[in-house]
Amino acid sequence: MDIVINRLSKKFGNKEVLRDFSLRIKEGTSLSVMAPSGKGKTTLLKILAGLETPDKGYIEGLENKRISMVFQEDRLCPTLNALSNIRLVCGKEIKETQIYHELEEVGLKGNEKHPVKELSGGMKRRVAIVRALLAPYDILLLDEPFTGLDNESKKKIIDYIKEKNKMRTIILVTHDHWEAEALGNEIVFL
Amino acid sequence: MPGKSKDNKDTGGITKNKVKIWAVLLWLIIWEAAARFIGQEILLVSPVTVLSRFFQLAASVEFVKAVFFSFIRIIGGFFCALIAGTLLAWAGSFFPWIKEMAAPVMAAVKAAPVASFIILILLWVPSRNLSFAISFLIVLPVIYTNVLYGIENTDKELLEMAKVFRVSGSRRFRYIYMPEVMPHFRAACSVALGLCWKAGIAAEVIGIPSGSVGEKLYEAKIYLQTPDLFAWTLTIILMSICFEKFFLFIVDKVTEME
Repeated sequence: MDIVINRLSKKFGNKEVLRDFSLRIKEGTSLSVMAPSGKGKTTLLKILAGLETPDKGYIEGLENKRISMVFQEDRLCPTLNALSNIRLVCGKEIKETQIYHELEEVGLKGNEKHPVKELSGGMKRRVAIVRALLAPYDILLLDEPFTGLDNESKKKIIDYIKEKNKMRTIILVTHDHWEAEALGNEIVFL
Repeated sequence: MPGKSKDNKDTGGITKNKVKIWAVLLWLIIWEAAARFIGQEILLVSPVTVLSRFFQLAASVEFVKAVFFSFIRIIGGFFCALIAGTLLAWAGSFFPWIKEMAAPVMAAVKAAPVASFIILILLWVPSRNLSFAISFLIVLPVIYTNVLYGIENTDKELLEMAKVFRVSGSRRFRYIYMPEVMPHFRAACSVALGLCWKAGIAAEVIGIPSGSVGEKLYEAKIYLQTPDLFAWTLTIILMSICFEKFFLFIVDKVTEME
């Protein structure tokens, strides 16, 4: 089922971050949303994730849909290690060996049991991406997910996301043209 | 199940003020010298005499009974307040009206003099259970305030993450709330354990329940038995320190297991 965003508006105090924003996202599409900073990209994702409510407008097509997300910040539990952070959101069908395998694929072999607070920014980012891909989902929301990754790592991670996503809907927000084109089938500007 | 990393002994930048043996010995020498200089046991008794009297008292059945009587009531009050304060803080963090309703009561309990409470409660509660009620009242706001602060300062971004990923309530509690709340809970317990002994014994001295440590202190004062006064004070200090160490050890072990 397509996601239909209809005349969405959102204000924070006097600042209007979204105004009458409408969009149709076809099921299974990889959509990149581009805009400069402060133009409501993150707010749009938060509304889609159910973390914010719009002042006006509505969204159709999210009923019974499971959402997974890579946040702008890593949002990993600092007292848990990489493996446990992923285990926290996974269903029982994901075996520990699979988590080890996925972490190895993104270049984190040997760091599975290190406390995440000891990992570098790029490593934490990759843990957050693996977590989002292993969680059960129908729609994957990516909020500037490649921050802190070098160009080579970015390419590898984008290929990794494409491979693991298996035709499910992806909504990426970014201000980087290259990222938007590399991951998205469609690009829209806010 | 997710397991916590082993490296979680963050002291939060707090330096522990450990008691050094040399400092204790120095103060004991000063005390002994002062007692010898004054030369009147009724005014200041020497540490050697206090220790000797303490061991004499400790060998009696009456001592054991008095310690048991006071310990059960004061620590009973502490545990009841621990449970009530924690539950109230959790309820208050989810239902603002509970927090708003509790706020003036907690502020009043914190601000009112302990002596006022003791006299007031004596009107309602038999003196036997006075130390239980006072210990409960003194500990309750300390635990409530600290646990509530810990819950309210839990990382909102992690809670949002848990919401998006549909993390179960029990896992949220264990892996997101607990690491935030436990340091505040531990600090509150440490403060509250010191306070409950001070207030509980003060209540016993005023209420004079038969067979309590407070009664023994009162009798020592009335009959000018200064060595007994010091020996019973030493008993209270030892009970307070030993129980605090034991309890905080258990709390630390539970936190490490998590």
